[in-house]
Order: sequence, then C-alpha cells, then structure tokens
Amino acid sequence: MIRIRNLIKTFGSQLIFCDFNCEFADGGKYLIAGESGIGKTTLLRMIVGLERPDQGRIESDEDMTFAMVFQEDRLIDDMSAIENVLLVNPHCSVSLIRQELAKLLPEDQLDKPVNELSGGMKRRTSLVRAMLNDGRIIILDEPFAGLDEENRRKALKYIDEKQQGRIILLCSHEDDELQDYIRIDL
Amino acid sequence: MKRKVLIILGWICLWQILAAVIHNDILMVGPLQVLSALFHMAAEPSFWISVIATMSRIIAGFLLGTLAGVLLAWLAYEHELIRDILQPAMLFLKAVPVVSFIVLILIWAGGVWLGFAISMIVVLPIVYVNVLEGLMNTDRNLLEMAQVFRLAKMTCIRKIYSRSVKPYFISALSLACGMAVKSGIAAEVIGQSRNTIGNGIYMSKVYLAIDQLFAWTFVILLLSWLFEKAVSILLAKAGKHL
Repeated sequence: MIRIRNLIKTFGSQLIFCDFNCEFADGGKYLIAGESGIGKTTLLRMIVGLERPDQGRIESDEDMTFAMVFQEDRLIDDMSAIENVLLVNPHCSVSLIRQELAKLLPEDQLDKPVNELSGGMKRRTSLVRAMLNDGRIIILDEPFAGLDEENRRKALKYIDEKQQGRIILLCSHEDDELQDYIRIDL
Repeated sequence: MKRKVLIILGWICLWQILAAVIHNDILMVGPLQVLSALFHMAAEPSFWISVIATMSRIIAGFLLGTLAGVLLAWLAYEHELIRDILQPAMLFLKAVPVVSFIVLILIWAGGVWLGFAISMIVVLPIVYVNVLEGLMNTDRNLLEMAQVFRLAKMTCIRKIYSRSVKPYFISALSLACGMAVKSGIAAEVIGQSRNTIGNGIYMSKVYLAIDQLFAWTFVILLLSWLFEKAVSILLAKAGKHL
C-alpha cells in the first residue's frame, strides 16, 4: 500500500498539486489520467523519490522498491537490448532475458546495440527491463508511446502477465484498452 | 604512407645539407653524426641507467598524478564543497610556471625526486579537470534510471560514468604523457639530477657536444612516443573490460 497525504508541489509560481491525497493498494493497477502538463510525470517522479514534494508525505508499510519505464527510454545506447535488461536485473539469466524480450521484440534484434533499434523496439525493451525487475511498485510512464495497435496489445498482455501482485501505476494517453485499471484523474 | 616517408626523408636531407653548409660541429650537426653519437652513447651502461632512472621516475609520477587526479575528481564530483576547495588549488597548479615548482622541489627535496614530483604536478590538474568534466557531463537520465533500479555504485561507475568519462580521460592522458616526459626531463636539466637523461643533456651543453644533445633529443622523442603508445594500448585493453 502506498499512501499519499496532503501533497503540495509547485513549479515556480504554478501550483501543480494542492493538498493531494491518494492510496494505491497492493496488487492494484492504476491509470493516472489527466491532460498534458497537469503533473502526471511529476507525481510519478515524486513517488519514486526523484523529486521532493514541497509539503506532504508519500509513505508505505514496507520498503518501497521501484521498477520504471521512463518517458524517455533511458537505455545505454551502445549496449544490446539483452545487456540493458541484464544490467538492472542481474538475478536473471541471459537465456531468460532473451526469452522474455522475444515475447515483444524480433529475436534477431536482441543482440544489436539499442541505438540501432526503432523507437518502438526501445520502448518494449525498457518495458521488459522494468517488468523483470523485482521492484514492488511498477511505474509505467507512457509505456505504449510509439507502439502500433498490435504491439500495444502485446505490451499490455505482458504487463498483466508479469504484474504478480505488485502495484502498477501507469500514465498513458492511450486509455481505450485500460478499462480494468483504476482511474485516478488529476 | 609512401608520401609521408618521402616527406620525412626530404626533411632529413635538408637537415644534412644545412649541417654541411654551416660546417661547424658546435653549432649544428647532421643526422649521420647524431646517429653515430647515439650508437656511442647506447654502448655505455650509463646511457641505459639514465634512461631507466628518468623514465621510472616520470612513469611513477605520471601514475600517481593520474590516480590522485581521478580520486580527487570523484570526490569533487560527489561533494560540492570539495570541488570549491580544490578549484583554486587546481588553477594554481595549472597557472604557476613549472620552473617555479622545479626550483621549489629542488630546495625542499633535492634532485632525486625532481622528475617524479614534476611529472605528478603536471599530470594531476590535467587529469582532474578532464575527469571532473566527464563526470559532470554524465547523462542525468541514466543516473536517475540507476537510482530508481537501485544499481550498485560500482555498476554505475563501470556502466554509466565510465562511458561519459572515457573520452575525457583518454584525451587527458594523451596530453599528460607528453607533458610529463618533457617537464620531467626539463626538471632534471635544471636540477642536474645525477644519472638521468636531463643530466646527459646538461653535460652536452657543458661540453658543447651538440651531437649528444641531438641524440638525447631523439631518445626523448622516442621514449615519449613509446610511452604514449603504451598508455593508449593499456587504455584500449581496459576499455574492453568496462
């Protein structure tokens, strides 16, 4: 369970969050919704600890460990998809990573440096990297950006398959297929 | 390649012609006389003792300067206060003429440690400034990624920081190699450190043996080139393991 209490956050003179309260239950899937620039990414960044709220608390009963798909792919360009996933998941074997990546990417692309992959392939690589991680809270910031319909469907299925009782917080403009997510409107 | 060899041969011929025209062994000697002097010098054990003594001190100073430069750069990167404290010290090391340090060390420690100390003093700020620049330019997005995924510090250093620092470090070392050799030997000349290349150059001035001066110069160029090559090979090998 994550509890957000009386959160206040400003950017310069602009008030982004004013006394914001919210709870995310274990095993829940949440869609953080709202128009562009309303503070979806800022909220996610505060939850993972990359930004500090001006006031308020973000707390949990247990240690909060995270895995994240960032708005940008944040992969190491000259490393392959397999190496990038292995970097943050050293507990996984190369063969397991190859098998998992092959669910979303063509197998012949897995050993190439990621800077030779398309934007969509990089996106799927960063999704596999996050979902294989043992973080208790999975943060997905626009995980379907640049994916066509078929790949989006596959990615969504992959997220469900790998959730394993963890909290998922997802920001996406594509919310048609996310009816089973609890919607949090900002 | 062929053209380059021809150009070098052309310059050597010009040098020989110039020596023949001047026709004064105290003012100018030709390449053949330099080669002959080099063979004579190399036949003496003292030549090799000088080469080994000079290069071992310069390499030791270079290594220590590099190590100190990297460690201080890391500390400065991690702590803003240390960065602020070190900034004037590094500016001082860079701005003060090497000759002032040479005289100071000569007074404090004598000639034996001169090559070592000067080489270290020259290398340290070059490595420090470049490594710090590389660290400061590390991709913030990747560092945030590492923070969220709880990557170990050592993994971050090997996989994220090293990629950013590598080009800065390589250019720093290739610059520092030549500087360390030249400054170290210049210090030996001024300090007249015994059994060193610098002392050999000093003696060639005392005895007006310009053929030996040219021969020592050739030896320094060769050693400097070999040193730079060795460092770049080591860096390439180390880079593969990162």
